[in-house]
Amino acid sequence: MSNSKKINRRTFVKASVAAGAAAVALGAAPSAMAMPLPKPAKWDYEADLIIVGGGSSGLAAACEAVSRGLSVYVLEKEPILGGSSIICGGQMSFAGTPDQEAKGIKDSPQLFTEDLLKVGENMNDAALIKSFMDLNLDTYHWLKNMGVKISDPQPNSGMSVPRSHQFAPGQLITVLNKFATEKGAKVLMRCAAQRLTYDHEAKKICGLTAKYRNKVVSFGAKKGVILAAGGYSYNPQMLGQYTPLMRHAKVIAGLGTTGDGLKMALACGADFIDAPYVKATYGLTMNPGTFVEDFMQYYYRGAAIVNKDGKRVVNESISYKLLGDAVLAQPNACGFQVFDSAIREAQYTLKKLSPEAIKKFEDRPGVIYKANTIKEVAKLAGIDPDTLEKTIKDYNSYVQNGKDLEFGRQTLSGAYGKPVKIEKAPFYVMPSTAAVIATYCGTRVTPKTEVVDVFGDVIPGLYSVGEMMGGFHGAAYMTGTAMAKAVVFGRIAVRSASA
Amino acid sequence: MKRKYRLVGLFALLFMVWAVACMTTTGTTAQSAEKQQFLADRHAEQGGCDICHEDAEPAEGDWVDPEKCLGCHDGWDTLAVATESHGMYNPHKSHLGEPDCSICHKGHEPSVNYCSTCHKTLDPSMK
Repeated sequence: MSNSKKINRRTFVKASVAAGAAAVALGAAPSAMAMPLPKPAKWDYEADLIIVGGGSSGLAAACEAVSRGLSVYVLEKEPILGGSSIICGGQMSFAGTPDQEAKGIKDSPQLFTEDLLKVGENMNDAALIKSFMDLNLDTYHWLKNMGVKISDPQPNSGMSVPRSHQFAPGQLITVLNKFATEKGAKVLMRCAAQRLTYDHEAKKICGLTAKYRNKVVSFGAKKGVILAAGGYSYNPQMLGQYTPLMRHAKVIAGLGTTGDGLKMALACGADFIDAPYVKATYGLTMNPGTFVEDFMQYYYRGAAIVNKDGKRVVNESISYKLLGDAVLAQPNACGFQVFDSAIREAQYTLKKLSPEAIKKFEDRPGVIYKANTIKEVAKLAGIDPDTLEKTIKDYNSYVQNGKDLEFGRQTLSGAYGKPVKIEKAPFYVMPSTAAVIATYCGTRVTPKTEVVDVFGDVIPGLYSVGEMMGGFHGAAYMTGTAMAKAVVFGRIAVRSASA
Repeated sequence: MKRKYRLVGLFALLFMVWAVACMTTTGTTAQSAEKQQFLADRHAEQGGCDICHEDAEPAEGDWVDPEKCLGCHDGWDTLAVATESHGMYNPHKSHLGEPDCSICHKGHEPSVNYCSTCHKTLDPSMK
């Protein structure tokens, strides 16, 4: 065998192996197992950090990264930034802020922690909450210094003092994006991350592949990959699989929340926690259109909630998330809000709705039914008329006697208000269901946001933050903590990866 | 045999309709008149493809950088005034902030109303 032939043959074998590896790395050939891809010979793009998701957690991470002189790519699958954050209610919970002080509100990390554990029924990870508290107030000032407008702490679900500060989601995302990109972060839109890559020599996650401009390309991460890809609200299969009740719910979330980041982590053996705690918010019309005008909580002003048989299904004063569970278990996932003209009036006064806005809402077909008697309105809405008439008669007697013999309703909402009779014609029915606005569960992480695998070991080089990070909320969710969690842990991940 | 003649007659009728349609479009064919409706055709008339695609041939899946659009078109505030009649659904002053122009304004196909992706009661076509 001649020398040249040997070389040729070796070169040929090498080349074909390289080509095969490249094909696998670029996703041209389907991988046989849900495992991370091998490190490619050459990266198409490379930076210290690769962040998956351009929502508030991903962009906060990008801001923290550029402030520390790190190079970073943010990959956003959708053509717009902001993910679920940009359509959120605009509340972020902080403890001990000047805004609170100005209103004479005494709050502290200890009190915030106690509230979180109480709401989360002690199913939350206390070490993770400690990590959050260490940077919570700092993050308030950090955001304000960048120009994010935050103000007006409000009392809300699950908090013992007013703590959820108001902000405009669009402004937050614009500020974070501008800050990061002006300092050198590369934010790539319509760039969908696909698979993580693993460096078998260094034994760590070293990058990922993504679909970008109709091509599969590779991204190398020198210091780590931060998954900030949101939840799986818009993935009906995952919803049905992990939280079966939610399969019947409607969804109001970022369009990109299809569980991509979670799948990437799961393929590396990540542990996945808290899925049973995902809940939906009750009060959405069965026929949602614009979303801004789709929610109405007549029940907290005194409406009864019944099923199509005309029977009440729940104590109407409890958390709207628990009402969601009760209603999703009903036929067609529908709970009819039954109320009278006084309750209707009270709701619109509270919501400060103009007559035009009320008309716009009520005139949409199938949203509200109205009639002069309970029986008539039941017929219009498709509820058993005789049973509903009896149910409301019984309900009114419970209000009269101050004792709800069926479900123990004692208040209008939470600890507030006395129940009222449903007696002043005309009567109304709003067929309503519940909507998933986020999946409050995800990867198990260390207090430094390192992803932990099913055996309890850290997966080196992989971090997970924001909605797709599990362990923080526990069994239930406190208003304004999803957003605070997103921003705070986005920053923590960068600190961990660059330490 | 009879069926064959009927078919020929139908084709003749169709041809006549087509010929009349062509004549009424004064010089251009009906097909190119349709093409003129796209944003890219209107822009190309004013300065060729380069007006949007500086680097000649764009790759498939590419989109025009919004900076490019804003280089000629006035800023977001002015655009917002132009679409003020949309009220709370003003696409140039929405909760999305300053998204890519191309999420609605398509170069080589009919433009769309991106807002309607979520806000289902809005018209998905752009008028």
